[in-house]
Amino acid sequence: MDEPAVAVSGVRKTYGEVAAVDGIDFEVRPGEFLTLLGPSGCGKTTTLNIIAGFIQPDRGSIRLNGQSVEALPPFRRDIGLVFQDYALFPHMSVGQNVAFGLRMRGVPKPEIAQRVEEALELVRLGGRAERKPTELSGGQRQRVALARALVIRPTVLLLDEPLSNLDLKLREEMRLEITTLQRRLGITTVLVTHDQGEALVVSDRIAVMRNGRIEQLGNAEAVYERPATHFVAEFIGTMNFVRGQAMRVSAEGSCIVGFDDHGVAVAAPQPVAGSREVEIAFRPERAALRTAGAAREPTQLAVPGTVRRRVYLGTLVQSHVETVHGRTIIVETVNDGIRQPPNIGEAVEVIVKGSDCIAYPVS
Amino acid sequence: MRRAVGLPWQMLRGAVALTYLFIFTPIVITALVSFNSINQSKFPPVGFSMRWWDDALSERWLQPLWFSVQLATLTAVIATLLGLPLAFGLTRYKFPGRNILVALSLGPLALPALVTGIGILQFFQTAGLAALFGFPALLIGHVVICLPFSVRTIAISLRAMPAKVEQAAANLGARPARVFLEITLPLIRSGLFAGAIFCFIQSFTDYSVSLFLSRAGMQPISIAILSYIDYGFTPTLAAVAVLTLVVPLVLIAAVQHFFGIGDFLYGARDSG
Amino acid sequence: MSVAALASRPSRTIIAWRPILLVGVPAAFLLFCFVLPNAFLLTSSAFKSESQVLTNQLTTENYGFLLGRAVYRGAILRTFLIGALVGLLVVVLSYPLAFFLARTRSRWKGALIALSLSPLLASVVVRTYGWWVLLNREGAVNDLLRATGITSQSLPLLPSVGAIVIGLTHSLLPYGVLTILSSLNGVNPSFEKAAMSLGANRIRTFFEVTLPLSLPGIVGAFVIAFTLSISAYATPAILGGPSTATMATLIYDFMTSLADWALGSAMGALLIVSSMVLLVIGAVLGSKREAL
Ligand SMILES: Nc1ncnc2c1ncn2[C@@H]1O[C@H](COP(=O)(O)OP(=O)(O)OP(=O)(O)O)[C@@H](O)[C@H]1O
Ligand SMILES: [Mg+2]
Repeated sequence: MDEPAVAVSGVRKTYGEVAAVDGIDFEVRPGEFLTLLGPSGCGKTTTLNIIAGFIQPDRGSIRLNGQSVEALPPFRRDIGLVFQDYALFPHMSVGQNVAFGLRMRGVPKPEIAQRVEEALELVRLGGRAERKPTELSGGQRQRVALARALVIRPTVLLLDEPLSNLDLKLREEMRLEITTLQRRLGITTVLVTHDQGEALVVSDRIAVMRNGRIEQLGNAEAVYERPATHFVAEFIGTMNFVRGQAMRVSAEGSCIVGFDDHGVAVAAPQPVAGSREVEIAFRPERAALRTAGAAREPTQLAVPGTVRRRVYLGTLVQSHVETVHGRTIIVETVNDGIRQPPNIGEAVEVIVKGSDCIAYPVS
Repeated sequence: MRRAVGLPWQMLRGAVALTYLFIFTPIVITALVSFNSINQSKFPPVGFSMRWWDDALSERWLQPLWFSVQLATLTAVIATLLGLPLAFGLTRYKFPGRNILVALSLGPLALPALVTGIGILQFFQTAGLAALFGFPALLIGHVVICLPFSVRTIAISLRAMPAKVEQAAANLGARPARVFLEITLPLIRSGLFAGAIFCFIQSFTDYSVSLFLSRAGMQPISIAILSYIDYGFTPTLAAVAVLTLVVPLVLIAAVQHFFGIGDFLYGARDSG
Repeated sequence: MSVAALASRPSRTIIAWRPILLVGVPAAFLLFCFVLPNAFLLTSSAFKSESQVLTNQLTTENYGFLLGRAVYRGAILRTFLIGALVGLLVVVLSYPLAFFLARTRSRWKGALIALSLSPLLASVVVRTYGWWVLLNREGAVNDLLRATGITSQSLPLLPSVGAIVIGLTHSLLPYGVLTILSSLNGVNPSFEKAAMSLGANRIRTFFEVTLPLSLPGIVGAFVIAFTLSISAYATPAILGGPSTATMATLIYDFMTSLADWALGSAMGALLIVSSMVLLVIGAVLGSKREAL
């Protein structure tokens, strides 16, 4: 197998009492697009800065293409870095900005000119080399920053919240542009974001971080369909949680849960003990509604409640159901004109298949 | 949008006009008094004569004026050379003793310059450094009182630099020395010049630290004027006083013309 | 992923050479040419001196001498009185000007600010002489008073504490403007807009929002004017006389005509201590933002 392009192992960094990064390991395969996703303050930027060499970790090591880079200062690491606020050199033109890294590497002048031109073409900014960064729009600055990082042909491209300064429309445009570019160049990329929607769209794999640790590392489908922890389940997409009882552990990674004596088998990625309370999670689009009291299939769970609100999303209609324990469950119904969502105030049952549920231990 | 007219604002404008009058009256009077035809500083001037200006432009006064220019120039250069690494170290690194050093580099601003002058005088005398008396001691005193201006101005422009550009340069392969020369230095250029000009003016207009450190033949212009006090304020002195105003004005005009410190002073900066 | 355990290693202590190299020379310069001289002055104020040479006899005699005589006590009190008056006047005169400069929409705003600070380009020595021309016995003010028949004789406007206060206020005004202007510029205009939207008129907005928010600037201006006044030599020397001696003019006399360095040091030490006390009070009352 190939050497991983980036290998982060056992990395830890503390500031006083706070562990900004608390022992993380992951590998990025050559050409892969990996996203570090997590809420504010979970240590994403710190991780990126450790890879780029701006922060010395207290422990652990970073290898690029199998080479340990601990001893290498930032300016010898050959890593392309795109900053959140672009960090374009304000006293240099667009062209000079892009040429900077090549000059530092002693690339001959004619080649610099050619490569700068190519890089600017690549980000669709050909012919703008003479402009000053201040004369560009936000999206254009972002593309200059990208060209400046790519032109040195880095081993790996690091992007720290590159889109968070852009407005929604531009963000979606640039999102697409960055992924297209990444696929075309086949460049190994690590993106940092706290926007889970962005992460799901662009990444080959996602590392979900929390409090300086990685909670789950997997592709979009895995983190969405099989969140490894309660935190991941809650952080990615919309998730319903209801309290239930674990009756017994049936097999490795699965258990029987229920609300009364009726039990169904559900996945349990974290170990749960028998006869204990668990949180049962399921997605709004996997649940259905029906009038209270009707018979149910043996593999289904039924949660009684009252409809409190209805939200039209166009293609979908959401019903907000309040359970007898005061929790709110969201159920999404396709707005196909056939199924009629229940009225507000109506007593209903939320129905979900055991195979669409995941049980987590109560923390 | 707010249009600030109305009685309170009009009254404020009146007060402001009076304040400007208060600020400039003595200066204008000094200038006019130099044209008296009698050797008395009468205002309004009696008659009109240029002969005090002839006196003012004689060797007697041009020598200390030129001395002050040289002293202030050298002071500005040395204070900038010391202030740049100091400000860079203080703004870019954390190290033990940093806070003490911050206090220390602003200290000469807090303690009376007059007393610092005496301290240097006594300390050099007692430490067997009397050989430094004359130009070197004077220069040292001036650099000490100007250093806070240079450190502070440079530190402000170092902090005002757009975020992360130094990291971006390092990431693109520039060694620390090149980052400093190609990124940091060009971006703080106007701050450097502004700091140097503050130093020049501070040194040029100082009398406190010079009071005890200047020696015969090595008098800055302010001390030369001050030691004339026993003869009263003659029209010649008025002409000399106006002359001393010309130097910083010319300097500022020149620097503004060639380097544009206005950018710095008005805080206009681009973030890329 | 159990490589972690193998890869981890104890943290390294990194000696920070770069900052040491950077600040080494300037720090040494400050130590040698600023700290040691001032420390020396403070110690020498506690030694006996004989004709500009300090002996190694410890004594409180110098301080006893200064604080024990009515002349010197009077001069010290006068110095502080001058400082307080100048501080007050500088605040009162510079606040309206600074407020105007901060809020005006005039296209001359930049020029007006520069103009208000331009006196800093002239030495205090130069600027004080203008007042001498106006205030001396044969000066313009007396000429005017006599010509209009308000007085028949010249008034002794000089030397006087009043003249010194006027001269110092004049020379320190730009510092007041600068300090208050920057604190007014730091007042977010939305606070004023918010106050007005809540029904406060301009004047109430000023007194209830703007003024309290710019208090640190007022304290700062007062402290700067006070400290620079008490150590000023030129203005009291030009506009005052023996009857209006201040700490700074006394220091000059001790150091030159009396040639008593120990007394000069002791008075200098009193000045240092007063300045420090004032600055600390100012720092406590005003804002505590980082100095650099
Ligand atoms: N230089 C520092 N000194 C002290 N604490 C720090 C420092 N840098 C980061 N931290 C702390 O470490 C934790 C992780 O910070 P980091 O910047 O890596 O978070 P992040 O995931 O990038 O967050 P965000 O999404 O807000 O950018 C935070 O709690 C932060 O307060
Ligand atoms: Mg971050």
